[in-house]
Parts: sequence; C-alpha cells; structure tokens
Amino acid sequence: MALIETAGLTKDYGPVKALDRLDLAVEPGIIGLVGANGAGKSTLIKILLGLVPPTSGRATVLSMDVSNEARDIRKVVGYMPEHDCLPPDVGATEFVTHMARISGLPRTAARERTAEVLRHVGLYEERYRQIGGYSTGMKQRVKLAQALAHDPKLLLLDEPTNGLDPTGRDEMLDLIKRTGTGFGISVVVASHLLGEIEQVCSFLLAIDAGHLLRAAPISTFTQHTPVLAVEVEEGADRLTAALVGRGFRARQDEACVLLALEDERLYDAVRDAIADLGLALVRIQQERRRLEEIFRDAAPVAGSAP
Amino acid sequence: MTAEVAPPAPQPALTAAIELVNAARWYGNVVAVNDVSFALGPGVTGLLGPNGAGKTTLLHMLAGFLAPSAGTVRVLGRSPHRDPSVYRQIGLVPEREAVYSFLSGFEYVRFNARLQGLADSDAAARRAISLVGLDDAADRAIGTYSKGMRQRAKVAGALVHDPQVLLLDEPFNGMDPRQRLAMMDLLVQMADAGRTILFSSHILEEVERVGTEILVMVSGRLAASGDFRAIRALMTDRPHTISIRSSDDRRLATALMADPAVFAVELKDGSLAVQTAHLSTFRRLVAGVSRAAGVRLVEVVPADESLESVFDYLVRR
Amino acid sequence: MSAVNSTATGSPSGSIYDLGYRHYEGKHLGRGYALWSLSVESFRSVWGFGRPTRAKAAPFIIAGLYAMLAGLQLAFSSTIATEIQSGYSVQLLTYDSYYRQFDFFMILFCVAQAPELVCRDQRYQVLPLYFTRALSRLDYAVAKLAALTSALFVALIVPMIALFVGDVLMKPDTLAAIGDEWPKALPALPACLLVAIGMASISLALSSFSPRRAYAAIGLVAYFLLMEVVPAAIYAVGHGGQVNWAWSDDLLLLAPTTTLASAVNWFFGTALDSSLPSTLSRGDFLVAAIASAVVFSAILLLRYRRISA
Repeated sequence: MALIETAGLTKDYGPVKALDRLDLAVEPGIIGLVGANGAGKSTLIKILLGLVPPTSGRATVLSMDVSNEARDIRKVVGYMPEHDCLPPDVGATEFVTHMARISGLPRTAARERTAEVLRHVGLYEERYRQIGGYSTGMKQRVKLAQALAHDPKLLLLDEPTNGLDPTGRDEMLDLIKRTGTGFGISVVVASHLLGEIEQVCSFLLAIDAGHLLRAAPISTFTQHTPVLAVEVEEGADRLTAALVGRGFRARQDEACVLLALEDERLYDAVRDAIADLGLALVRIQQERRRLEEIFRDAAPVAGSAP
Repeated sequence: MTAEVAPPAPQPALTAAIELVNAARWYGNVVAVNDVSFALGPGVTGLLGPNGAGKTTLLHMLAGFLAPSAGTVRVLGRSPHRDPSVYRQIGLVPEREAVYSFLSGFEYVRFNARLQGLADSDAAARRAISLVGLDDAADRAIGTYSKGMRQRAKVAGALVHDPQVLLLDEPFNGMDPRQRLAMMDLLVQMADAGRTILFSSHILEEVERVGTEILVMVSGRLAASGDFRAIRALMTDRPHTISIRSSDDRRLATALMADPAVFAVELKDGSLAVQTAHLSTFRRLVAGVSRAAGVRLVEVVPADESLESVFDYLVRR
Repeated sequence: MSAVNSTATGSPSGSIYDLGYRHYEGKHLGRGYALWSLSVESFRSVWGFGRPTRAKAAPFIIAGLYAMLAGLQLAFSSTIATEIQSGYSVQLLTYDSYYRQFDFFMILFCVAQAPELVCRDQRYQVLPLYFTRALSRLDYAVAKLAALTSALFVALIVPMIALFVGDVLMKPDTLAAIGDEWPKALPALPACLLVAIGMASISLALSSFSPRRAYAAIGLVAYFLLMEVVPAAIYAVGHGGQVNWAWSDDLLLLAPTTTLASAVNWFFGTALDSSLPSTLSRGDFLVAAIASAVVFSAILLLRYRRISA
C-alpha cells in the first residue's frame, strides 16, 4: 500500500503557485523530503495534514483522501512542526498527555503512553519541569513525543534537528532511525541538510518549484562511481607513476591518486605498489556520489526561488 | 546563482586581525566566556561548541556590543567596544535579529550602507545584493522572504561596507541546499581575498567543507583551536581507528594483531576495525602485512578523523 | 542471593523484559471525546488549575469578590431577619439586581481570563498541533466557548445560591421556606446561563484576534467600557434640551452588560432599571442579548476557521 500518493496536486496562493500538478507515490519507509525554500515542501505537508485545502488534484495518505477523510488521516499521523510550538508554562508530561487526549486516547491510556513515549525520546526527570526552562534539544524531544503519543503510522517531521548542536543532532537522528526501523513507523523527514538525509533516509523526494524533481531510493544518488581513490601521506606522484607503469589509468590529485576501477586486480596492484614503495597508506575508498550533486547539477528553474 | 562579482581586494591586513587575551565575560554568577585567548588571521575559521557554550557571547564581544569583563579583545589592533571606527571594519550577522519586515531587501541593505556612512550607498547595496544572489527578490518586502532569503539579506547587510572582518552566527540556518552551497562558496571566496571570517555552526560537515581551522568552545572555555586534523593528531590518549574491508577479514585480523603497532582489532559484520596508537607506523605497514598474508585490501578508511569525531572527543572530555 | 529465581533442578533463572516500543492497541475515542477533553482542560485553566499557583489568584479572587456581598448577606441573615421582624426596612440584595450591581467584577474576570484561553495558543503557535488532531477548527472554538461559559456560569451562580440560602435562613420556618423560595430562585439558572454565554462570546471573540494577552485585555476593557459609556452618552444628548432622538434609545441595546442585566429582569419578571427609557421593553433586551451572543459566537467560530496554522 502506498504511503503517500498525489495526482495533479496544485495549490495556488493568488499569483504564486506553491504546488503545480505534483504527482508522486511513496512506499512506507524513512523518506527524506528536500526542496528549495519556497519550493512547496511546507505546502505539501500542510495539505497532507489537512491544514490547507488543495486548489485542485488529489492526495492520499495511507489510502485516505485528504479532501474528505482528513480527520481519519490525522488519527494515524503525527506531526512535528519546524517552528516553536510549545507553551512555556506547563510541564512536558502534562502537555503531551493533554495532546494525547485530544488525539482520542482515554485518560489512563494517555498518561501511560505519555510516560512511555517520553522515555523513548529520552526525557527523564526534566519532564516534570516547565517547558520554558528546557534547552533546544529537550524541546525538540517534546515535539517528537507529542507526535508519537497516539501511536501514529506515519510521522511528518519538519526540520527535526533545527537548532540542535552536533551531539543533539546525532541523538535526534538516531532516534528517528530507531523510530523508522525499530518501531515500525514510517517517517517523512523534511530537511535542508542533505548529510542527515543520506544518513537516515532510505528514499528521497526532491521538490522544486512545486514540481517533483526526483523521487528515488537514496541509494541511486549515492552509488559508487567507478573511481578508486587512494590517499597516501606523501609520495602520491611516485604511486601514480608506478600504477600507470602497470597499465592502469591513474591521475594524481594532491595527496590522492584517482584510478579507473575497471578490473579487480587493481586492488592488489595498489597494495603491492604501496608496499614496494614503502608509502604510508591513509585511505583506499571507492568514490561515491553525494546527494548534493542533484542540486549542483539541476539548473534552477526560472522564477522558482521567491 | 551567485553573481560573478569578485569582492574588491581589501587593504593589507595585520597578521592577527582578531586577538583575544584572557578574555572573559560574566553576567552575575554566570560566566559566559571564561579566560579565552586566541589569534586569527585572514581565512575562514569555524566556531564550534554545544548550545550555551558562549559562542554568541564571544561573537558579540568581537563585534563590540559587549565589553570583556576581564582580559582584552582586539580587532584589527583596537578594542571594538563602542568604537565606531572599528565597526566600519566589522560585519556581523547575528543569529536572531528581527529585520524590519516592511523594508525591501535592497532598502534594508542600503540602510546598513548609510549607517556605515558609505559614499555611494545605492551602488554598495546593489553589489552586496548581487553577491548573495538576491537580485530577483531585492525589491520585495523582507516580510515576504523565506527564512533562507532573510538570512542572505542579513549577510548582504553585513558585507555592504566591505569589512575586513566578518562574524557570522549560524549563517546557514534555514537555507536550502543550493543556498548553502552558494553561501559556502562566497565565504571561501571572501577569505581567499584576504578577509578574516569567523562563523559559528552546528553543521560540522559544512564547516569541514569551508575550511580546516576551528575554535571549539565548551562551557565558556576554549577547548581547542587550530587545524582540526592537527588537533586530532594531538589526541594521543585516544587511539586511531581504521576501518578495513578485505577479501579475508579474519586472516588479515590475525596478521595485523601480530604487529606491535596494533593494539586492538574488532571483527565487525563485513569489516575490520583496527585500533592503533601509532598511526603513521600502522599506515606504513598495512599494505605489506596484507600482501604477506595474501589478503586483498578493498577499502581502508580512517574511522575517526572527521571533524565530527574530533568535536565529539573535545566536548565529552 | 535469594533462591527466588531457582528452577526445580536448582539452576538459577532470570528474565529480561522487553522495554521496546509498544504499539497502542487500545481504543481511539473520537471527535466528541477530543472536544470534551479540550473543554475540560480549558475550564480548568480558566481557574488556574494545571498551571502555577499564582495563576489561580486572579480568577478566584475576582469571583470571590463578586460573591462576597451575597456571602455577607448570607452570613448576616439571622441579623437581617431580626431587623425585618422589628420593622426596619433593609435594602436587600436580590437575584435580579445582583448582576447589574456587581457586573464590574465579571467584566474583570473576563478581561483576566479570556485572553488566557485563546491568546496563549496563538502566541506560542500551538494551534497547528491542535488542528492536526481529531479536533476540527470549529471544535476548538466551541470548546473554548463552552469552557469560559461554564466557568462564568459557576462564578455567577454561586452568589445566587448564597442569596437563596440566606433568604431561606431568614425565614422562621426553613423547610417551608425552601418550598416557597425555590421557584423564585429558579429563573437564576437560565439567566446566569445567558449572561455567561453573552459575556463569554464577546470576550473570546475579541480576544481571539490578538496573540498577545495584554492587547487582548486592553481591547476587552475598551469594548466593555466604551460600549457602555458611549450609547449612554448619546442617549443623554439625544434626550436633553430641544432634541429628541428616538433612535438613540435603541443604541442602548448595544451596551453589553446593560443588555444582559436587563435580560435578567425578563427571566424574573421584574421591572427594568429606572434609568432605562420606557421605549425599550424587557423582551427587547432579551432579544438583543441573545442576538449578541449569536453574533459574537459566530465571529469566534469564523476567526478560528480562517486563522492560519
């Protein structure tokens, strides 16, 4: 069953077309959603949540239509907004319990689920203190907790690592990965940070100017290229010469030697050449493509970035 | 998307454009910056640290908003505190700042140019707008901008007077991938032209991209400074980990373990993690040992040389 | 080591319990429950429950002051009773005039608490979290209205109860008095309900337009003040000296608390306040009060339907 599907989805805000006949279909999993600012990411999320009606076209979430089954969709979807959305004068437990009840959980179940979910996101004694005194990391965790409290099948996370320091980011990304794989919940992560999308997501949706730019598994964007990079502390020039001498195509790039990986015997030749020359080997690695290349390559559509 | 306008060459800079000696700043009992000393010259330096480590306070001291409670802060040889002549040479992009949303991008940048007393504020504003790639949207109200565009407008406002020193607090916040790449390129360009740029960021992959010089603050103190690769080499109490994939991991593991330079080998699923305290020695022996054992090396990757790894160590110390 | 975990053969055993994420298998109650939950939570927050202690100060003190005089009357009921018996006439507080006399406190209550109910969620941008749940936008507005109305109703009815008890205690035969008095007191119920919804709808509708509590409060104060003073002033001008602006009488129907207080008279069948023109009947005020409640409720619902989240 498709997780999310849209057909000809369009949203106009007067003269500005936020979404323009968007067609996409994604399967359950951890999905990264990227796009330039103003490309339509937030609009898409709002439409899927039923916050904003589409101008035309269809969209379904877990086979439910956003136009007339929005309330049913919201029962099984959890949303973590990008912006601050927590009142400062209540405690996390109270707030999440309240939200769980608004999602339809009976009082006792709401309390129990809240306690469980706060544990899963890593909030311990802090949960009884007022949210106003929390650090950014703790606030992000509360936002995630309220999205999870009613046990959704799909989580929509908008810039979940916003404002977090490197340690906090790692922890949040780890949590997201566990949620997507271990907890059996599908996750859509909207983010500008391609590095974290590569790290956590298995599928990529790239939107540009209201259209679908790319929709494919992440692996297609991070494939190995047929180039082997060999880095040595010094003597890269001698290594290049030695390998060329053995009949391989090689090019030096500062401390690195880039080789065309056509034949498995290259590995042995590299090893032997290094051992013979007595060089210090830093790295042997097959080059991979990076996600950002799709943005470097794709020419910006005229009039897209508002 | 970035205009092909090269930043004009600035006057020759002093060796230490920014210099702090035992600088400190406290608020009552809270010591935000504690006994920090460093010197920076032209180039890009990343200012890293957990939230609350004092990075913003440090940047504000450098920009002249805050006087140090102790020690000295010098920018281009003078103390910036309340010295408008030094402000002329400094551009600051603060993290949180409400810009007047009714002004257009161009008006806002020109306003900054006028505040700096520039002779031809219009031209300077247009140039700055081009540099950050906001030409198309320059005449719209800032209130209609996305977060990333607002950031770029702030950067333009900070560069319009062509300062020698540029201080940026989380400048990439809210920018999409293309805008980030463009901004990183711009910073590198400006640094190459001789400016001193200090920017704080939590996105270590990007900091690594822009340069290798870093300053790491933890709880108000300076935990490390300099080239992060050199810093890594100094972390001698932490063995280096190298991840290896080969044609026969177990055989290679046994062979490597025989060498005194290696003190631990971990067999993981599909790879080996080798720990050594003598990185250079290990690097020289690994090819030979593999050959002798008849094992093909498919991948050899240092597992903890990244900035991420260095940062993690410094913060947890 | 205890032998608790030993099996029959004597070798120790133990278990590790799965603390992994568990899915929720229980029931999901629907929209009605969500509406009820929000209403109850909001009602509690009007009185300051679920918030720091100082949040309870304002509502309880104000409601307490409002009920105070009725309470005094109750406390001194035996004294008053003897006064009446010995022939002294005593100006007593009555059901129908109580609100008119002390509406100031209820205005204060609304100014203090209505912004709390609707401004906070806007200010801290919590609305998207509500609107992406089982609740619809209108449900949210209805819940807030129900909460403030109930809270006001409680605040209004307490002095009525105090008066009733006081009245009963003043009579020599208490049990018979109850039988006699309660039909006289009964109209207090619908009357207080109308006043409650009347004030709640105005307060919430106006407050909902600002995310800042201070501005909302000022807006409410301005509304309640100006809409009482201005029609009265125009009426006075319109009937002074040579002019006779008959239409200025109808303006008084726009004055919020005057209208509500006069509508209360309709429920009790008592005469309107003497300062009001004879052109306006109790029925007019009742209709005006109901219309006002409907209009402001509609404004509130419309506001939440269109607010961006």
